[in-house]
Amino acid sequence: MALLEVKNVKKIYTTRFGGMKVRALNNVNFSVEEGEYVAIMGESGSGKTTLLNILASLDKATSGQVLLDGKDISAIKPRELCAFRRNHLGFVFQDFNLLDTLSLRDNIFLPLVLAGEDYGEMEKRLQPLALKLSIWDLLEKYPYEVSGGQKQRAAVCRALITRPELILADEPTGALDSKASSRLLRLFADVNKEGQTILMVTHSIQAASHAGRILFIKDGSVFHQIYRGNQSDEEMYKMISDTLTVIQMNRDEGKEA
Amino acid sequence: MEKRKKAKSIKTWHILPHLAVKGMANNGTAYYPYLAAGIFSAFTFFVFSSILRNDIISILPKSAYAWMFLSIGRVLLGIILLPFLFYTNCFLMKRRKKEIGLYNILGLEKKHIGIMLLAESVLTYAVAVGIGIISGLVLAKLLFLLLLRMTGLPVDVKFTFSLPAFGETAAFFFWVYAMNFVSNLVQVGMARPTELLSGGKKGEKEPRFLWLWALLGMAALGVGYKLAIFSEADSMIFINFFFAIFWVVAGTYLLLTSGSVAFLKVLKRKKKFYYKPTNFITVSGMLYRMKKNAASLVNICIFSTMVMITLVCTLSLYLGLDGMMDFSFPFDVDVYLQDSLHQEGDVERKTRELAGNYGVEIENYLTYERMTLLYGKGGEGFGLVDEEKDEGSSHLTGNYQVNILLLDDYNKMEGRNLMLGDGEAVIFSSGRDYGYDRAVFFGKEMKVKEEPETLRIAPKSENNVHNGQFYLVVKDKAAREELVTDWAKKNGVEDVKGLMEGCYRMVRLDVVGEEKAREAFGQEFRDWCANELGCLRIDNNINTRLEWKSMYGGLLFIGVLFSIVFLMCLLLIMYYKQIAEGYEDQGAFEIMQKVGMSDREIRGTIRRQILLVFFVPVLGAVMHTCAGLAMVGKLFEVLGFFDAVLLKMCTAGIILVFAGIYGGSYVATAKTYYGIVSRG
Repeated sequence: MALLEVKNVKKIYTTRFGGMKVRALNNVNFSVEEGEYVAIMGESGSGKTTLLNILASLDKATSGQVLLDGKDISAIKPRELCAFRRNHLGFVFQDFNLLDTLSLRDNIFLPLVLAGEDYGEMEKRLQPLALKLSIWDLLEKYPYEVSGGQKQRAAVCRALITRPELILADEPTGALDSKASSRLLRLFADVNKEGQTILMVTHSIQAASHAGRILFIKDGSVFHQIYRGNQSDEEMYKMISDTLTVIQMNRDEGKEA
Repeated sequence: MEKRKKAKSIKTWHILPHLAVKGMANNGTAYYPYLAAGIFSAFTFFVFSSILRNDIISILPKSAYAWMFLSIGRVLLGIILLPFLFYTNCFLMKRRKKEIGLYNILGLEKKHIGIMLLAESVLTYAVAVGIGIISGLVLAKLLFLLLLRMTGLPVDVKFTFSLPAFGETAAFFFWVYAMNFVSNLVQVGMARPTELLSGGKKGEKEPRFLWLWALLGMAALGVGYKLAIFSEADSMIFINFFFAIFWVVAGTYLLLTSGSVAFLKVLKRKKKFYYKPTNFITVSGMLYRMKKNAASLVNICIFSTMVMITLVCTLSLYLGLDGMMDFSFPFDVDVYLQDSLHQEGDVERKTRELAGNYGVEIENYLTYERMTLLYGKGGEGFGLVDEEKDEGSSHLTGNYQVNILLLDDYNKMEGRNLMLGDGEAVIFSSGRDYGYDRAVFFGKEMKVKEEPETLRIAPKSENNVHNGQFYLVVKDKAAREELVTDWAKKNGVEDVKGLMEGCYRMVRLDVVGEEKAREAFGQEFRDWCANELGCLRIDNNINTRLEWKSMYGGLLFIGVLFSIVFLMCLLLIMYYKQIAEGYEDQGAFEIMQKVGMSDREIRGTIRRQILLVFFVPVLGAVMHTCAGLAMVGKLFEVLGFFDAVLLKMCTAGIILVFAGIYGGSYVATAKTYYGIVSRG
């Protein structure tokens, strides 16, 4: 059984003034197996972020189902939603979302503390992760004292420490320079190799080229997907960029027609 | 075509005032309180000015104190309002930098922004002074009547507004807003647009030697409290008073800046405690907030203490005024006569005559001889100060006034039939009980036959430590002369006869009747006595009481008005702090939600943090006030105020009212805060 199943998900927004209906997602279907590394690509306004918010249970679909481990997340009571997010999902955001009031260590501990985890256990989990992410020496620093790449690695550490079934990453390289980006992407690939399931939303070809499978979203539905197979990152890069060109050309033709 | 022409005619200059008004409205949460503070300031200032500039106040009898307090008050008001309005303006500008930076990038030149700011300042000035004066016109008369009521001055006077009051108010606030405008101009002029756009958001460096400062703060607070609680009301009290204030302010500052951070860090170091869901967010948030807010918390604490102490002092003095006056002036009129001339009969005849003329009754008419000598005292011994070898008894210190009365006079005034033998005496203390069964005057022993609880001519209070006197009733003139002769010998006075001239005959009486008639009686009786041969002195206490009432009433009026002004400053500082926190917490609120904290949990913890942060200063202020109470009580004893219960009741009441107002406005500002936070 797939770890994540998205079935016929639709999302329709009603604008505040005039009551105009805007269709953000139009019948999205896909599934993610355990241990997969999936990237979702699409242009601005294609519905990527809406989809991610629905997967993250931050937003609700108008119709359709999202099943995590066979459980319908839209059926979870609002009161239990927070605990559900904490226990099953890990988040990495474009703008890091670290609290300035906390040191990196405490930022990383935050979800565990909220879950009422024992302190000894927290330390035990932290050490290997922090060493792997090379932030062991920075743990006492505050977010405003470290670089963007270091912040993002701390955020990844925070996402991993709860040992979630699924990591949701929203443009994780969006605010990083190219060096920090490739370092982070290598890290994601490593983590994935160890069995972590990752779902990443991005419009960066470089970021997507590290993934095992790429879904292309256009006008609110899955338009196309490609698999890595045995190809290298470079070959993937080329394939993605070709696909994007095709999509772009289709659109232009559609316009002219 | 028509449309294009129209669009062309809208020039930058026309759009600027529009932008100014819009900018003000968009920043309503921050801007309206600033405007309200301006209106209230103008209102208060105008009321003070109107009362001061009113022709009547200087003509009214006994209004000198009220007038003086108001004059000092207006100067103080200016001193307080100027920096306060400046501070609120700075806060506003901080908030608006982004907007102004955006205008600048969109193509408004600095001079255009300057004009926009000018339009804003002019509008603010006009609204503040305009509404302030209008509400002043409505309410000044009411407040003036209240002042007259409180000071016991005649209420049936006409209140007119004079032009200088308008002028002064307009001029004062012109300078205030001009100053703010110039400071805004300088800020905008110096900054580059990119700087304006990015609201600097950096964490603060931790102070070093945290523990040292915290300990110093504790020590300073301890010294301040010790001074306040234990210092005696002697000649040093005012110096002690200032030192106590200094140490308490310094201690508060250090404790709130370093002590709180140090304490929270200890909590943080206790991992088992710190890494629990509720403690975690609270402690880390508090740590962050304390570092940023310590200075304003100190201000809030000191302001609160000032408000409470001011109110406690003025209110309890005003409420305790009757008691104080009864103690200080037990009789309406005191006359001091030179005994050798024996004109007591004349005085009595004159009082009866005047009483008839004015239609008042004379009551409690008393007359007695009084000889007053100053002694050093130690235990039961009376003698010269510093006579350390004196009869092996305890050391003699101080200046104790001993009033020697004769048994005959005593029996008459108390309606008794007491007999005294040779070397026997009755002793009465208007302060602490004397408590010995003998008294030794320069080595000569007198047996204390009795120490009565009361004496008609001198009210007694155990707490009357500073103005306490002894009344020694001796058998006859010979016994008195012996005491005087001994005293003269030891003090090196040769002219014993001359010394005996200092023996007065006192006449004391109460006047009962209508208020106006009593005043007139007092006035004429006083004038008569002043011209009478052998009349050394006359105290017209009817008049003095009215002056006291005017003085303390004026004090209360000023005290209450000032407390309201302080309170306004304080609440506005608090309000702005909360808004600032709201904008800062907006991001944190969102992040915590994403990481898996429920909306309710977040609201709960943030509310608790803010509650703690804003009630720490009030707690401090209540503690300071209670410590200060000891010193206030001692100062009041010097003034003849001994009603400790009244003082405590006033304090308790004021603390309650203050906490109520503070809490109420906290709830009100918290609403704004939630509005900001949940907008994100």
